Amino acid sequence: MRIVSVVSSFPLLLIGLLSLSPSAARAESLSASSTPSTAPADPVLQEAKVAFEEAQVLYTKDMFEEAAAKFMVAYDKKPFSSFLFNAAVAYEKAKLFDKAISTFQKYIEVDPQARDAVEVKGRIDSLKAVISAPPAGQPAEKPAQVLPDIATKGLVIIESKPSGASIYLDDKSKGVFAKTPWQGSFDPRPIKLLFEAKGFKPEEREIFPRTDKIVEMYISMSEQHFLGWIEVVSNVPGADVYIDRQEIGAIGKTPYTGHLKPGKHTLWVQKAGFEATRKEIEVEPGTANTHSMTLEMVSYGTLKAGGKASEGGKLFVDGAAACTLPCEQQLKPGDHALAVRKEDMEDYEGKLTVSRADLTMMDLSYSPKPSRAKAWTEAVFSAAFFAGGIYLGLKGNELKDEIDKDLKDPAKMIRSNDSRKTTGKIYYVGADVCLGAGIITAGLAVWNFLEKGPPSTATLKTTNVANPSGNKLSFVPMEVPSGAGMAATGRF
Amino acid sequence: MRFVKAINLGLMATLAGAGCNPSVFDTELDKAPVVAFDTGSAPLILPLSSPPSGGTVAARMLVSRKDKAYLAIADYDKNGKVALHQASDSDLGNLGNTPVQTAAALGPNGPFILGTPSYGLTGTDTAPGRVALMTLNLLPDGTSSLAIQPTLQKTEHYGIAVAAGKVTGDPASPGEFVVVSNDTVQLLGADARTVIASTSCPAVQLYDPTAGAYGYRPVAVANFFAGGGDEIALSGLGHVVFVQYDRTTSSLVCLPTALSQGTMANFGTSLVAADFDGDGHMDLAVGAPPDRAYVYFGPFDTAGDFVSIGSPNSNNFGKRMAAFPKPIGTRLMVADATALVNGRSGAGAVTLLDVARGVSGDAAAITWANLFDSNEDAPTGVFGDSLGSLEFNTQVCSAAGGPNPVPWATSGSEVLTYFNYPGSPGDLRCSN
Repeated sequence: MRIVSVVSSFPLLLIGLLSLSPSAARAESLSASSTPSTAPADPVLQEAKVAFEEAQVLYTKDMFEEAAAKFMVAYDKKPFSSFLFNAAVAYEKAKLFDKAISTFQKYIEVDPQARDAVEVKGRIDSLKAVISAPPAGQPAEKPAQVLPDIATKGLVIIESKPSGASIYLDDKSKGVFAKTPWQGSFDPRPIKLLFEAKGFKPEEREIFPRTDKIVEMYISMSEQHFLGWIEVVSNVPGADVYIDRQEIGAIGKTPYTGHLKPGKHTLWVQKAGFEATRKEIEVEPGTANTHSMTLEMVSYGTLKAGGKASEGGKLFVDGAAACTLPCEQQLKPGDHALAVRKEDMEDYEGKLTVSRADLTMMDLSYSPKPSRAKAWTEAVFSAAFFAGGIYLGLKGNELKDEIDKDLKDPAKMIRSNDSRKTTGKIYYVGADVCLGAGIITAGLAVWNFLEKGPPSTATLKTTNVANPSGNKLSFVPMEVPSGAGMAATGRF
Repeated sequence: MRFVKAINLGLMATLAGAGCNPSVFDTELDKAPVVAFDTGSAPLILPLSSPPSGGTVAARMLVSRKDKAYLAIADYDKNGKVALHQASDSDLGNLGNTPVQTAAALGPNGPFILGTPSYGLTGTDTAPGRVALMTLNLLPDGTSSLAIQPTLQKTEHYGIAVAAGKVTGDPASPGEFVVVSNDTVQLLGADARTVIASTSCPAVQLYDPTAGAYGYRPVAVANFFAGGGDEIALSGLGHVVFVQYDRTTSSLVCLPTALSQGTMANFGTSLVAADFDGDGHMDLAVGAPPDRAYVYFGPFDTAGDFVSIGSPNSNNFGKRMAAFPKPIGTRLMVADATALVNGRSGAGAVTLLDVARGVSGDAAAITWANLFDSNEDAPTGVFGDSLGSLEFNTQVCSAAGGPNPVPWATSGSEVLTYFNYPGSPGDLRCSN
């Protein structure tokens, strides 16, 4: 078996693939920086805005009392403190000082942190002094106070996504001006606003506040760019890709694309039948990198020995103990003699020819050794037969000796058919039968002690994991110094 | 595995070879002094002369059974082992399938007369009885066969006793048969058909009701009176009479000579004719159980004398007797079926006595040998019911040998032949 790789250049095709890749599309959207500033629609606010603008028109026409009423209508719609301030100014212009005083006081109550709170309090005092002046023709205790001119305010409304963003005016040297959402008034001059929120890209805007208008601002902040994009390809398709921790499992198969946190990472690519490849990579945020991994076919074959209830068997390869089933054993290419031995089971013996990257599955089925109970039973019977035979033989010998002794006694006339003859024959025949039975049962016992059952069997199924599909060509995307391309691998 | 099989087979063969061979008991007991063979029931034995030299048969006897029709030739080989050759069914048919109760032979190998006194017995009828003639055909291989021809029915219990001899004294005659029925003595020719003469001796009541219809009828034929022919000795109740053939009248005559010992009722229970003292004259031994036997010395036509042999404390001494040849003279065999032997009461013994003129007294004093049955399994009271002398031809072993007498006796259904016993000249069997 031999693997040959052929590399061809297809730059346009690669580019096309990259542009069509969902991952690539995702990467583009993340790298975009523009954010539309569209404020959500608020009809009440719009009503307040209309009332405010109508009040401003009336105000410019010196219809101060009507203007004040409209400002209060706008306040009723949206309780912005600026509306109270403008209503108070209009009441003052209309010489309705009491209402002006009470409205200024409400303004301070509603917005005690207002930047002009001190001035408004002084204005209230001045207005109260005006009200307390003696009628015309009466001498005044103190000269009458002259009220400085006063004008209405515009309104600026600032909201953001996310809310809570810090607002800086002009630059960050003055610190945080406010947090969104914010509403208030600025002098009618151009103002630069800086927005910052953790995890989001800082934003900068410029506004032009007016005293007669409500200026609305809504800003949607975009997330910061902190991930990198990688692509992992290998000369063998379908290899498992591991990042940093192999124990948690593969995160995908080659060709693989995905995002990683910026920093150093360890990349493994491995596949059965090939040596695992490791590479240390560094990910820059917002970058895209392709990593090409080359896998080398393993120099050994693998035997996975197992099978139903195969536990405990010892695998011997070429006569040497290898491992205990179920187990996996690497074998050098070539012919090997396999054997599996287990107590009370017949041995398995077989042969295996191993090539590089071969994966051989051994499905072992044990054949139990024959029971020795029968042999033991026969042995016991044999011993009993032998004992009986010896006993009967001795009895026969005893009788024979007795007859022999009597024959030598001249005083005794022994008959040729002496009754002891039959008895002795019975003893001897019995002894012979017992000895014969003993021999037979002993033979059977030996036979059954040595008897072997059918050998244990195993099914060996070998596949080459480096090229399980056989002699087929496969194409793998590759990155080469001159550009991107496809690698074709074949097995012959 | 094949190796294990081979080991097993080898081991089995080795052990089998080294096992216990039952035939060693046969080999061992081939040396037994007594050869025994079983006939199945009380046997009737008629010793025959030894077969010709050069054969394989060393001795021969005719064996019958008293309970059924059975006849066989028992051939002893040179080692004393017995082979039985049974008569054919047709021969037994000629006997009416009737048990042979008595037998006698003219000469060493016959012809024979067989008495079947129960022939024709039906129910409780008294049997008419028959006798048959049997011839022995010697075959080239040394064995023999029987040929039996029936004879005619004669009188009641005909054949209850038979004997053979040269009663007529006719030199041209091979001899005659004596046949006894209830009260008649009849003399037949050698063909066992021709009636030469018959008689009834008034002084002798042959029929003994107390002994049963087929009781033992002692009869002996020998030349007791030193005449030209043999006389017939008949035993009756307490006495023995003689019957002689009168050539002038061609008839049987009851002689006035009679033997008796007073009122001894059992006198004559058995008779044996032999030359016990070796003087050339036939003597007559008369049994008188329970404890005595008499030997009357011939010739009887002169003033003869006798000796009395007693066996105190015996119950059956003299009930059965036989002659046993010795180099000079004859020994008397007397059975005591209930004798005490080796501490076993009723075991029975046969005593071989050296009888001499003028020597009366205790049998133990003249005992030459005692025979007994060492098998304690045998029933009591049966030993020696039949007894006699077997002619064992040792020429089958060596040409220098010759026929020698071997005692035998029955023990129940068995025939015991004593080839070695205390006092014997030694074991005659070739293997020894």
